[in-house]
Amino acid sequence: MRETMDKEKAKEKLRTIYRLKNGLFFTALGVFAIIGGLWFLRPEVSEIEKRELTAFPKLTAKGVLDGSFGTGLDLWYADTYPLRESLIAANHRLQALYGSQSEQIIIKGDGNKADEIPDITGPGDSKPTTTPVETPSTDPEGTQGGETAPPETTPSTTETEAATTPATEPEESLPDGTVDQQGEVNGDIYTTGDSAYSLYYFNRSGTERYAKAVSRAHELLGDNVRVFSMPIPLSSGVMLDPALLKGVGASDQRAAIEYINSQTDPGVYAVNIYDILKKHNAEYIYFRTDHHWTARGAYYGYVELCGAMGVEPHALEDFEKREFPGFLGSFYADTQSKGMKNNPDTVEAFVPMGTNSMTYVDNKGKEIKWNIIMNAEKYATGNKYYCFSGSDQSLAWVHNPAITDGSACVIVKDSFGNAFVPFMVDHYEYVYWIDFRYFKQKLPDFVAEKGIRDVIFCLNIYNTTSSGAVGLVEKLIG
Amino acid sequence: MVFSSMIFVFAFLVLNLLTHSLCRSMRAKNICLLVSSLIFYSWASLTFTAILLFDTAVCWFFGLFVEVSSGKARKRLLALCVTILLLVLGTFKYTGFLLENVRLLFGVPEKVPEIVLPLGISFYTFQLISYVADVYRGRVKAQRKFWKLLLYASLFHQCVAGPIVRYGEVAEAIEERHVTTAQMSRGISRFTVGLAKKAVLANACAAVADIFFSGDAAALAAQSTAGLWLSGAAWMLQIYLDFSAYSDMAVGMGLMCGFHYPENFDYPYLSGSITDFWRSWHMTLGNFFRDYVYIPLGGNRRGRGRQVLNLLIVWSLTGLWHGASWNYVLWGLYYFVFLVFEKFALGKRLEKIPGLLRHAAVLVIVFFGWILFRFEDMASLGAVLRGLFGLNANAAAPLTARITFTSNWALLLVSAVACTPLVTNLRLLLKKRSVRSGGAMTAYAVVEAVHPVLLLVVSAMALVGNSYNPFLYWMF
Repeated sequence: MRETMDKEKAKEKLRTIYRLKNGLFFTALGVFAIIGGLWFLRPEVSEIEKRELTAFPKLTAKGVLDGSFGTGLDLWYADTYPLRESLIAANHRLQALYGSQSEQIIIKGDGNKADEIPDITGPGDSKPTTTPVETPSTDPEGTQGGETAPPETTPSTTETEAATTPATEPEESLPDGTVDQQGEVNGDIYTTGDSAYSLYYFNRSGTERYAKAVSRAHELLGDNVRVFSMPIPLSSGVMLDPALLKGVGASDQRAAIEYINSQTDPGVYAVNIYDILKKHNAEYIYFRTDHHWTARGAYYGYVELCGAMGVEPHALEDFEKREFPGFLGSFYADTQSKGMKNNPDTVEAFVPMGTNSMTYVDNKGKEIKWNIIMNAEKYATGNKYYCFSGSDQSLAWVHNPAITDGSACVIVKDSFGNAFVPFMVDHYEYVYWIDFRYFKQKLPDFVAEKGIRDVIFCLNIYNTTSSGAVGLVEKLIG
Repeated sequence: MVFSSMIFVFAFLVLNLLTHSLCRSMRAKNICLLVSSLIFYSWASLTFTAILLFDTAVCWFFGLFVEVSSGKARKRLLALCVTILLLVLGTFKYTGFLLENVRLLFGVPEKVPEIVLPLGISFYTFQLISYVADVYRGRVKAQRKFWKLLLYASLFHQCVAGPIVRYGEVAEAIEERHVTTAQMSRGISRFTVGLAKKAVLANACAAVADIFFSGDAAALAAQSTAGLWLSGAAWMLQIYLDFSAYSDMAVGMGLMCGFHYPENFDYPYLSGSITDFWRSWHMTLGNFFRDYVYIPLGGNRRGRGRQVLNLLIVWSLTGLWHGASWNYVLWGLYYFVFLVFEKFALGKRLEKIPGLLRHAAVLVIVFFGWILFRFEDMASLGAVLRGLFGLNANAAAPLTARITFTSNWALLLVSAVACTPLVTNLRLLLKKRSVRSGGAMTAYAVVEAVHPVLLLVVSAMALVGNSYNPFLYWMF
């Protein structure tokens, strides 16, 4: 009898537990649902991922019929969920429990595997790379003696606006595609402690297509225009031990650049900046929390290029240096590494001597006055690299009042080029830079229109390899 | 919209459960479920809904006629209905495969048209076949109302990825169903466990599997042996966690609305034989083939030769059902060989083999089975099989494999535990003890009350920024 009573009591207790459980679950579900319904709280931009979030899909009959409207809604709902950044950060902490994350992590990207780099040793490899050419008409001394436009000459409102509202121009035109879909490197990452490195996998057909495209540019532009090609190594190739790279199946970037350079037309000035970077790799030439090189790294690239151009590079000390600490870049966004968070990068920037004023064309075709080096102190922690050269605009230029010889160059660049552009300012009256991913005009037309003398391809090695990026280079050249 | 998406869990399901609970009459509840199901199904494409409606209309029509006819006419009506359903399935699922093979043999047609497979067509076709067949056998009464049959065929809980529910299993519930507090509680647990299995474990295992299992045949041939084994193990865990998660969620949502769907999995990786494995893996599909193909073909009643032939037919069809590609057929036949071997060569001797050895053998056989299942082109399949035995003479990348393992060992361990009844048994033990011990009761109360919320939050964390999230069985 007593046992039956006990059992009944226990059953009643269980029922109470189930009621409590059901109540708690539906409360939690309801809270999530209500938060999801607060449309005005839905973010439009992700600070962590530095991209515009998925927009609400357009309702069309076709979209409903083929299901793309439904798929768009799914993506929009999850991508702009009000708590997304906190939930993603929490998920990264959960993922840290998947295994021992103490030292080394490899994040794999698209699963590309490296091709073997063909051996290029042998006769006939005489490129102009190694032979500095005649000094061009630009007088480096003259540039040094020229007037310098101080940063203050730029309307201060522009700078303040950018500093306080990082989500506006130029950041607005920097969707995730810049890094992800448009073929920039952040796929294969090797992480150790508070530092990460982009890995590189050689692809023979991609690199050969790039070399051919650059050679075609030379062919189309003729001998009066010099074409320089300067593939920029990724951090792993310069910073990591070769044995370690071999262990993860990554390619030797020095050999890859040598191979690319061997494939370009002898008339192209093919520059290999690997050695000079390797030589200086104890210095702060790549970020630890971001996939870009630093301005200091870009400076060494510039020094090597000057050798090929036959001009004297300026000393780094000649530039006014600015520092923007607290930078947590794309590697941090991908890994949410505690080590990186505790030890963020500092963005060093060197202001050109001739001028700090530039103009860029925004995505509506409007000309915007900007600074070559912006004050990034108040930029969000993930956006400080945007201080360089107006970031990834399709077209931007500088008119350097310190030089009046009509000289002009165009730099065909990706985001690595942003840190490089400032050093070129003091060598030309006009420096143009175009982002190969967004610029729509054909390069030969642009060169003819602006009376450009030097064309400099300044792309990171991934963009001289991946077929998607190379396709855009080919399209640009026509 | 998949179950493991933010919009499904926090918008669609919430609205569905809310409206379902607010409806007073059974008719209103059914209309609510039908409308929800059609919206869910149309989400993927409105065109697909037309096919579902057509198939259901065919079965509704034939079901009514089969029931009132007799003799040969009855049989012919059944055959005609099944033929129409299979023709529709075949057109969408196998035309491309058939034409591709014709093209390879004869060079025509030059271009094989790409036909998009309607969502869940393999599942609902089988459900509808079982309905007409059961009406033919007199096991169930034909449904007079079209919309009620449509509710059965389109029920969003299970219509796109199983379990394959027979009409008789839900016919009563469609007319009358109740949800008790305990049932609701069980449903919540099943749903949240399934959601977390998919969103947290299966998706993470998928990422590990993709590390060494991606790229073309050349890329696969360059992978290290250790890496391939690691990805193979992660893939084996992924496929179970993924598919069983879907069934868990389906069963859970069913319970929340008063339906009792059949179980689809019974810890298949703990099986001691391949026969047992297939008795506990995708059980509703196995039962379908047994009841509607194997037994009608004569099963084991017409001699050993005929039995082997019947098994061959069943396993070829099982392979083909999973996908229109030769590797699936090969995968089906692979199991046919082991099943025939167990049945006829080993027989009772199987039980004399030490348990540990049998379990290990099953895991190895299933592991290679999933390799066959994964790679649709033979070049990739060959590269991986050679690589698993170190025969590719590839540039080994053991560091990548080692780092991948050290970065994911805990995930793989938890995922392996999730393939066993360990956690469920511990929970049941606690429940049993709670009758006698106050402490155990408190512990059980905490576990019960907290785990669904915890799993929900963890799943939301995993889902919100995760676009890689397809259900493997979604398009079968």
